Amino acid sequence: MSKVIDAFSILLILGASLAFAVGVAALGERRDLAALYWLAIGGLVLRSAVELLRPRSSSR
Amino acid sequence: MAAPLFVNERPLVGRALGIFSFIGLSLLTWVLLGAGLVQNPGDPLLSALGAVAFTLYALGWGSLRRRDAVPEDGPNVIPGQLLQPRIRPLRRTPVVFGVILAAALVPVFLAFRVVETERALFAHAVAILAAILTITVGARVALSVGQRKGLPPAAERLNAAAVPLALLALVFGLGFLWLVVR
Repeated sequence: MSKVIDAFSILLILGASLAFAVGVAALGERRDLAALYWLAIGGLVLRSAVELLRPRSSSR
Repeated sequence: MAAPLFVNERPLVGRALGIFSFIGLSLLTWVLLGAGLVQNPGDPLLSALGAVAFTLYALGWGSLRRRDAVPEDGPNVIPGQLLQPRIRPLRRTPVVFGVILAAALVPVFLAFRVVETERALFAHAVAILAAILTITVGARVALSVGQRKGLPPAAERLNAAAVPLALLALVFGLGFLWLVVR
């Protein structure tokens, strides 16, 4: 199970990079709404990766 | 080019020539060129190479330890046992981090393709912020890959990630809906 979570974490990070890349490309093409959308996706994916790595509840 | 000749015998002169003089002359050149500085606004490769060259230049002038210097022999070292790392990285850790680093730099290179000046500045700022966040999280993920000690149980980790993943699914769904409606 831990190996699956490790692989999923790496996929999440790569997915976040892809989302940020699409967002930056959309900025260059003057598609601001699409850019905001993809940057938000990237942020959520990174947040998921952080929670998967070190849940907040474990530090309490 | 003269700076490396002075670095060993007169380090202050070498660094003054290599760093401050170079930066000052570069700044003077940019100011004197004015609008003529941006000759090829649609050439992202030239801009990217310039940024890479400046990065290598900055790294090249970083401080290095002298060849025969041993940090543990320094006068201010507190004697005692060597501090051991909490975890030892596995062989695949550098590979994982290398892949994450390469992925994190893709938005930075894509930002050079933005032609409009104001948008380009914003795109570069966003790309650099995204790269910093990705590398920061990616480094922690790379170090944790394969480790078992110090990490919470798998079920707890999955439960904690359930909320942001659910939000992600919701945002994806909204985006798909918007595409369909459009």
